[in-house]
Amino acid sequence: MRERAPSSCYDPQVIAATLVLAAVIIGAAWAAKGFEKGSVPRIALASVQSLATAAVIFMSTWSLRRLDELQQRIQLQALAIAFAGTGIIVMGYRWLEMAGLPAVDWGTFTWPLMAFLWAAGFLYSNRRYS
Amino acid sequence: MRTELPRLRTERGWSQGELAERLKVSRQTVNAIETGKYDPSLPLAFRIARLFRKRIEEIFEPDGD
Repeated sequence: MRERAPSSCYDPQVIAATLVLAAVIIGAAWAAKGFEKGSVPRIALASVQSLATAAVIFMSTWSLRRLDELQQRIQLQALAIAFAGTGIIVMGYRWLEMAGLPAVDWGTFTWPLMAFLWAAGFLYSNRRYS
Repeated sequence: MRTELPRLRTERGWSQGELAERLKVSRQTVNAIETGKYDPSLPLAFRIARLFRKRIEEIFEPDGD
């Protein structure tokens, strides 16, 4: 049985690294507007965004593995809420789009929506065990 | 699940934080176990039993029994 050092999802290093990566993703998106589609700099900036996104996923997985069993359960419930909630909202709005509501760029809004639902799910699940 | 954990902990004069540190878990986890909001995994239950030198069933008891 492997004992795990106590950790917290409020680890300042994880939060700082996430903010830096988010700034890189947003900064690259902003900088890319200055270049034409298909140009080398624009493709390079898009690659930077992809790599930063992959780093966020890797770091999230790494930080989850450091949590203890209750905190992992809380995160699992929060992620389930975010995953299912995003699917329901996106699919539901797609039907509304077909019915005539304005189209939404889901490529841009899916991740922020998922992050918002994760935060809401975390607060809900965390409260259950507090 | 009913638990003797709060009594065992206070007998030794430990805070929840101190017990959490000895068990390598968060204080939230200790609190949730003590208040019956969370049932520990079998490995954690063994760690708790080993720490207090007791059997698991001397510390935890299902609600139905």
